[in-house]
Amino acid sequence: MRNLLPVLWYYLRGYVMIRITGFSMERFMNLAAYRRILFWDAKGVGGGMEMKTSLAGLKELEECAQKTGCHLEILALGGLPEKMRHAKTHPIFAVGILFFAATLYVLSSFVWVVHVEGNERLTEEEILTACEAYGLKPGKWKKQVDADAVTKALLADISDLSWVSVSIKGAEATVKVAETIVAPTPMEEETPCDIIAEKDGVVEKITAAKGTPLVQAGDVVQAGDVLISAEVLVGLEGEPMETEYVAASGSVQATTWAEVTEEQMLTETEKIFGGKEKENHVLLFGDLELDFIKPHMESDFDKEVLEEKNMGLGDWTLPFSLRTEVYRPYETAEKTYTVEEAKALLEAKCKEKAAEGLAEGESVAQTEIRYETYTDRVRAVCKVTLSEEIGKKQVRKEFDVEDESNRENHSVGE
Amino acid sequence: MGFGKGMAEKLDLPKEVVLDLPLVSMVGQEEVTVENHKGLLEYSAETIRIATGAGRLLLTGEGLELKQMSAACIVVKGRIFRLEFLR
Repeated sequence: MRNLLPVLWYYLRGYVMIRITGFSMERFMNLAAYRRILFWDAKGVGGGMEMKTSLAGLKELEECAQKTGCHLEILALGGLPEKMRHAKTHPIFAVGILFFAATLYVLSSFVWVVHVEGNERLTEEEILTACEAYGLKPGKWKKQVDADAVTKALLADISDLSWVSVSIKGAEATVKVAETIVAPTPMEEETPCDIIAEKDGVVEKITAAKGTPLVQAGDVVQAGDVLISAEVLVGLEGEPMETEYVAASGSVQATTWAEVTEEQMLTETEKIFGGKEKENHVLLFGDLELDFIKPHMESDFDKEVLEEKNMGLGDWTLPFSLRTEVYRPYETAEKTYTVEEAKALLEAKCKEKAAEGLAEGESVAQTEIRYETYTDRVRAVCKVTLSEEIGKKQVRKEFDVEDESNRENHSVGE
Repeated sequence: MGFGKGMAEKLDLPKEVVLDLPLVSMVGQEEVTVENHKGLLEYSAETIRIATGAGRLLLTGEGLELKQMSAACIVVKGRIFRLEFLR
């Protein structure tokens, strides 16, 4: 750093490359150093020495050379002023610089990326499509995008949004949203409903928190049967009972049956990864993929994307991104299973599949597997006995708020 | 000299300043900085001799190059094999 700074300074101010020849070059250098003339990159070339020095020091150096009996020769001028002079005589350079600056300016005056932040229930696509409808999408000219209008339109369009802020920074538009707080649906608590059976089964246990249980443990029920009714009889003993409707709740555990089928081929091709992994870089411009240099792979390979990085500086995003991929070579090998091995695999698969989607407190009670062996595969048909929750809420027809006609009838009746 | 050395040690003063010694720092094999030098005695791509307060300093190597030289310090670049004080 200590040495870099003056050199950089002289690069900006301009420097001279000189060549010293003569008997006592060391004396010349000592003298120059003593007179505080900075020189750098001195190297011996042939019988003499080449070095760089400041323009200001050149005159004094000539004096030094004379005193020490050395011969000084100016080789070339360097640094920024020289480059500028060069650019003046070569207009195409200036054009190139201008073209570069103009391209950068033009590219950065478009919106290239739209980010959505703060959405929880709404998907990013929903918001993006809404934005697109009001003119905010990648590829739009920034001046054409009216952030205020988009904000208002989004608020009006999506009722679930309570606050929207659209800001454009660099080539990146950020849409920050806040969603409204959903009011709990009243149906859950108040609308009278029954608990009905979701599946066929044998009831193991029934617990009614609200409502009248209609079945008992050991009863065989079919899908759709009412298990806990919404009708509750109220009234004092000896007096005429009145029917009241409640939202039935409770749990009904039942034994159910399901069938799971799985297949296992006896010979399978398997990928064995090995060999040298290679990295590949792909330049992405919008949807366009530019892959200039593809690594040469001798065998088959799998691609895996390691990262995708937008090329830009800080807040400045550009429509280019660089994707780094890794190519993993593999060789295919045939793997054969014996019937026994296949059966073991199938059993595990069946059990896994049967347990899929079971909630807490539910379990697989029993499995019964029948294998069918073919020449190239084994097929397993598994009968699973499950112990699971079969109760499902169903709104009573006459109280269904969603049903317009029903509601009208109701009000007329009253 | 004995008095100066003792004082520098007792007072924890930088010796290169009090005793007018060179401060030589090296970055691997590729760079040597000699501060507080007394002039260049010999210069070629294989050997460089620098006069210092602690005697002559001889640097041997290949492709030696004076990266920078000023009254205060000399920076030598290249592949340095040996660094030796001649008495």
